[in-house]
Amino acid sequence: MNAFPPFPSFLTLSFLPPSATSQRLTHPTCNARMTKGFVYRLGLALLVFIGAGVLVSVALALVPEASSASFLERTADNLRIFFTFDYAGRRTENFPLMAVLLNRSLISFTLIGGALVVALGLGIPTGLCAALRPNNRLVQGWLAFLHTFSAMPILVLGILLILAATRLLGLPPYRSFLETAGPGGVLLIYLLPICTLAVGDSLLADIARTLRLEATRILDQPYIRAARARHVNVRYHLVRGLIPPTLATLAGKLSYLIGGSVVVEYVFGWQGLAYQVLDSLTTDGLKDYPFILAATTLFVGLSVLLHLTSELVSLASDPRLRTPPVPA
Amino acid sequence: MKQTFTDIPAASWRQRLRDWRAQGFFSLGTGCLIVLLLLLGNIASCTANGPLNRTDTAYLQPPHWLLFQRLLYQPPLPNTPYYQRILPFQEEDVERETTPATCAISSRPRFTAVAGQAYRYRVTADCEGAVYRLLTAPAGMEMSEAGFIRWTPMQAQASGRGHEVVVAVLDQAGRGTQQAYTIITSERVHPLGTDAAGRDMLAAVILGSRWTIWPGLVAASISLLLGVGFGGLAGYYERRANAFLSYSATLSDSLPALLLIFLAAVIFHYNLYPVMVVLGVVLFPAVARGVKARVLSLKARQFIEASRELGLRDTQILWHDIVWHNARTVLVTRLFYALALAVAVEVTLSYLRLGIQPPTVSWGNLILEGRARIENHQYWLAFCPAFATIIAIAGYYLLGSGLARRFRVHGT
Repeated sequence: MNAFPPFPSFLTLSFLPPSATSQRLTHPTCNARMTKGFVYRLGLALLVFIGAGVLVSVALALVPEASSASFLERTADNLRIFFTFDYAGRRTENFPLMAVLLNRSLISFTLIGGALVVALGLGIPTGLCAALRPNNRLVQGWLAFLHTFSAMPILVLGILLILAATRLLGLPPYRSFLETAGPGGVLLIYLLPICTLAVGDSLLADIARTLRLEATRILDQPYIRAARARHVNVRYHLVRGLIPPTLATLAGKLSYLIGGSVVVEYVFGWQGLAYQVLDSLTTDGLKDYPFILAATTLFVGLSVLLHLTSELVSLASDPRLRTPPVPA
Repeated sequence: MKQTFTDIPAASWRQRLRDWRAQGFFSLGTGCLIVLLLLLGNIASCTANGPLNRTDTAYLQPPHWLLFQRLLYQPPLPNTPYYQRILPFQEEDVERETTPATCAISSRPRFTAVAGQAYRYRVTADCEGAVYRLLTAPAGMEMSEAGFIRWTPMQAQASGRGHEVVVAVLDQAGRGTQQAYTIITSERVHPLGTDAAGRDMLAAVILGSRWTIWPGLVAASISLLLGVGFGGLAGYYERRANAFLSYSATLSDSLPALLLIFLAAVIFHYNLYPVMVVLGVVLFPAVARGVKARVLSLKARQFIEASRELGLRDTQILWHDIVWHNARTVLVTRLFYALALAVAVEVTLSYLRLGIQPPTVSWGNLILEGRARIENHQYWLAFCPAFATIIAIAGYYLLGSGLARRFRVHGT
C-alpha cells in the first residue's frame, strides 16, 4: 500500500482538463514517487537556502571594518541575524527595516516584474514562431537582432538607450524627470529600464531559445504526428510540455535579473532595493549588514521558491519523472 | 557517363563565400582582428602610458573629425532672429521686426580648431542674395562675401577657453538671423575629442583596453579548471562529484552572482584580480554542467568501450579521449564567454565605483563620467567607451564561435 500521504492535488496541474497524464496520478506508486520527489527537492531547497546564508554571512564578516569584533564573532552575529530573521540591530536609519525593505523592493520589483512581462510577452511568440516557421526570414532576422542585443552588457545597453532617447526625443529617461514628464515621457521612463532588463543578460533571448527548442522537440514526437494525422488539436500537449522548461528558464534567470537590476537602477536613477543594498555595502562607516542580510534572504528565498515551483510543475506535468522506470 | 574530377564545375564565388561562412572563417577573422587590436592596446598602454595620459590645455573638447562631431555632439543651434539694424532707423523697420526672417542658416559649424592649422567653415543660408556678416570673432578670423570663414589660430590662442563667434545672415530687405557658437582651440588633433581633464578620448579608450584581457584570462582559466575537473569527474563516475555539482549549481543559480562579486570587490579593496577569481568560481558550475553533459553522452559510445578493451586507464580515457579530443568545442565556447563576461563585469564594477579607481583609466570610469554629461549634448564621452566595450565583447564572441565552428567542421 501507499506509505506516503497523497500528494496535494493543487500542485498537479489539476486546473488543466483531465487527460491520460492526470489519470495516472491516482496510481499509488505515482503518488509515492511524487511525494518522495517533493521531499527531496524541498530538502535541497532548504540546503541551498542554508548554504547561501552561510556564504553571505562569512563574506560579510570578511568586509574590512574598524570594529573590535573578531572574524568569528562577526560571522556568528551575521548567522544569528540571517537564521532568526531578527534585524533589530540596524545602525544607519531610524526607519523600521521592513518599511524600508518594502518601499525599496516595490521599486525593484516593478522593474523586475515589468521585465518578466516584456520578456514573456515577446519571448513566447518569438519562440513559437521560430519553431513553427523555421525558414521565415522575418523570424530569423528578429532572432538575430535579439541575440545581438542580448550579448551586450546591461550597462552599455542602458547607456546607449539613454543616449538615443536624449538625442532623438530630447528626454533623458531618468526617474527624477517622472514628475515633469508628460504621459509619453512617463511611458518612456518606465519602458526603457524595463526593456534594458528584459533584453540584457539575454533573458528574452533565452526564453525564446528554450521555447523554440522545446516546441521543436515536442512537435517532432511520434505521438504528436499521430495526433495531427487524426486532426486532433495538439495545442494542449504543446502548452503542457512548454510550461516546465519556461519556468525552469525563468527560475535560472531570476538571480541574473536581480543582479541586473542593480545596474539598471544606477544607470536610470531608480533607487530600489539593489541600489540600497549596494549603498549600505559601500558607504564607509555606515555599513548596514542587517539590511544586506534581509535583502539576501528575500533574493535567495524568492529564487529558491521559483526553482522549487518549476521542479514541482515539471514533476506534476511529466509522468516519466515520477513513474518507476520500466525494467528492461 | 562517368563523372571525372574535371567535369565538376568550379564553385561560384557566392558558394565559396557561403562555405567560408559555414566554416567560421569570417567570424574567426573579425574576432582575431579585434582581439589583436585589444592586445596592441595593452602593449601601448604599458609602453606609452605617459604620452597617452598627456592632457591638453583645452578641456572637454568635442571630436575633431567632422563625422564624429556631427554624430556625437549636437548642441542646439537655433536660428535666432537678428534685429540689429545695419541701415539707419526707418519707420518701416518696426513692421520688419515683427515679420519673420526669410533667411535661415542651414549649415552647422565646426566646433574645434587646432593651433597652426587652417580652420574653414562655410555659412550657407537658404535665401537669394544673402549678405554675410561676422559680428563677433577671435583675432585673425576673416569672412568672405560668399560666407567662407577662414582662421588659423595662433599657439597663444589655444588657451583652453572657447572663442565666441557670432555670424549674421541678412536677406536683401535687411532682415536676418544670427548663429552664435563657440570654437574650442586645442594644441593637438583629438579625433574623438577629450574628456573633462583634457585627455584625448582615443588615448583613454586605448588605455582602458588594458583591463580587457588579463583579468578575463584569470576568470576564464579558473572557471575552466574547476569546471572541467568537476564536470569530467561527475560525468564519468557519477558519484559524489555529481551530488556536489548539482548542489553548487543550484546554489550559484539561486544566489545573485553580482552580489557575491560586489562583496568580493569590497573585501579585496576594489582590486580587480581577486574579484576575477571569484567570478571564475561563480562561473564554474555552468562550465561543469556543459562538460558533464558532453562526457555523459560520449561515455556510452563505442570508441570509449574500445579504449577500455585496449586496457587504457580511466584517467587517460576521460581526460585525453573524451575531454581533450571531444569536448573542445564546449571548452572554447566557455573560454570566450568567460572572457567576454569579464569585460562586462569590469566595466560594470568600474561604473559602480567598485572596480578600477578614478585616476586610472578604465572604460567603466569613462562611461560614468560621460553619463553626467549626456544632458549637455556631449555624447562622445559616454559613447566612445560604451562602443569600445561592445566591440571587445563582440570580438570575443566572434572568435569563440568561429573556433567552435572550425572544430566542429573537423569532426573533433
